[in-house]
Amino acid sequence: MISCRGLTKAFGEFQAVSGVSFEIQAGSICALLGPNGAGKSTLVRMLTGLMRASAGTAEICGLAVDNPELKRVVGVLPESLALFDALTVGEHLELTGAVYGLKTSETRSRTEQLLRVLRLEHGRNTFIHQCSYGMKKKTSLAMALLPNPQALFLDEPFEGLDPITAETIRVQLRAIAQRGVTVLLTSHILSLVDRVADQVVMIRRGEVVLDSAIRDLPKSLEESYFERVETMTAEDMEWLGSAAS
Amino acid sequence: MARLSGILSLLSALGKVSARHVRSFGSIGGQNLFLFVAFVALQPESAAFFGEILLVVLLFPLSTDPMQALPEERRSTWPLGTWEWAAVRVVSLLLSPIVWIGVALALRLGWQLGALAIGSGVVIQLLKKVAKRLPGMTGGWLLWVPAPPGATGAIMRLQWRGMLRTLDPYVALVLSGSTTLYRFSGMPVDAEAPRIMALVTALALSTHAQVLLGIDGPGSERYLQMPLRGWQILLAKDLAFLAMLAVLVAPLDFEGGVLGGIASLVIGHHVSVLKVMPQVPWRFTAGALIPWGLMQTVALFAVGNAVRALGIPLIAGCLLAWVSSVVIYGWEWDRRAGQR
Repeated sequence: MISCRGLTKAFGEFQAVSGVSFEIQAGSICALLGPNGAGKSTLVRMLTGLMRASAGTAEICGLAVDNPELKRVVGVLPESLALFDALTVGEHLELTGAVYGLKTSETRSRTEQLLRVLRLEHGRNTFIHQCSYGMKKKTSLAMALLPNPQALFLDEPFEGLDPITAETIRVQLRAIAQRGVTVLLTSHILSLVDRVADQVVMIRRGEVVLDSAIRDLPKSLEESYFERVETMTAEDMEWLGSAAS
Repeated sequence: MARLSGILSLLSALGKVSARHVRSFGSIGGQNLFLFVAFVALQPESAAFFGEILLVVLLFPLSTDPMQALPEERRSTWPLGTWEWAAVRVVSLLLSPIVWIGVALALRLGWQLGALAIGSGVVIQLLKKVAKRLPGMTGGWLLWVPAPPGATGAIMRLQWRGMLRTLDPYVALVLSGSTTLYRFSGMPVDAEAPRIMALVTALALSTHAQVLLGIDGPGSERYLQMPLRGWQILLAKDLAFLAMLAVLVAPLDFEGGVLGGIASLVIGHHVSVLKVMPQVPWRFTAGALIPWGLMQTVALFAVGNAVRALGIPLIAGCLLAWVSSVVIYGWEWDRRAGQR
């Protein structure tokens, strides 16, 4: 279970996250939605213990976010991906296995399966700085999954991936949630969120504007999002296309 | 006319890229060896020796083809004809830093040296192009760097890889290698020379002690998510640093060189943890020269020179200071990790 109460993060005068409270039941997938700069990544960083909250409390699987043991039970796909240029895709997974104390044979077997499922086998020996964005994201995701965590925090897991891999991840997330893993993800791809999440938390300017089970939404997810979070506006650039007419 | 203007704009952009490329080598100003070279420059013949070593190491990264700054996919989409691209190709060669260096050498020291520099640049470019076509050659040799067992070993490999993607170890290797060759060539050698060169070799590597976490660039954030304590991370990185240093100074003065390295780590931890400085690959490591680089240099030479006279008590004192530093700055890393 993931829960937070009155979580706040201020950078000087600016409040990136203010008084956010919600709960995610064990074995559920919650999507944290909001426009760029709404405070989603800051919130994820606070929940994973990477950033100290200015106020409020949070617990993940019964552990306070400042408990060092928390790192053993959560898997994180950070916004920055946090990868090492000097390592190959396969070596990132070796490093993760070693750091989490897995047996070499176990790391190897999980690595093989993750590379296969995420369609990364061809890039196993490619240095990260030579990888495409999609390959980097899959590597970071594989690092989050490899230690078999009890809670997963995924910052934009579908963005930049091909549709087959995105769908594969969606199916895998549903499967691991059924086994009791709690998942918090952020995304801008509402169609995928609609099919993967049980719960949705929408934030705007650091504040929660909607916290609901997906099935209880009065309107479609997309309609709810545009109604609660952002309205669509697009300025017409008249000069664009004038050469064709 | 519009096309000519397009070509000139393109060349101007390539010129800017080349100038920025050269400026990126300014990181040498944050390298501890630079401080030492500036000091020995008071004696020009000694400075010339170190200058030559730096030039040899710099020859590889400076031998660039400015056209590589233009991605092939982008080139093919721009509306320039064959002859226009040919003109850009020819003129762009003059923008390569190695050509400027060759011209400068030709004007100051004779055309033969200038031609040698430009010729070396051409050969290096050709070798780079051939290497690119061979599978596993573009940085593939780094895959040979082994990983000792466990989490410590995995981080040690990462540290070695990071270090080998900077120019510092190659300067240290040339310093150590040339001194060793000279020493065993049968020519007369001052009795103190191996020790001094071991310390200079250690100094060439010592800036890495200031960037133990910064060397991993964006990856350094990953340590915050790992279930490892700060001291474990620092210890693994220190061991990697000392192992590389030990290999380099072994033919010269193992004891003095390694102990000097330990002294530079004790001071370097402060900057490594409190000010994570990301590094640019294939450049010199850039640390905080004043005051930390200066303090490292003084400590490294003081300890390395005194070890023979003071023996075990000094070694024990250095080891105690090192262990304390690993524990204190490891704790500091943990503390700061939760405060970001």
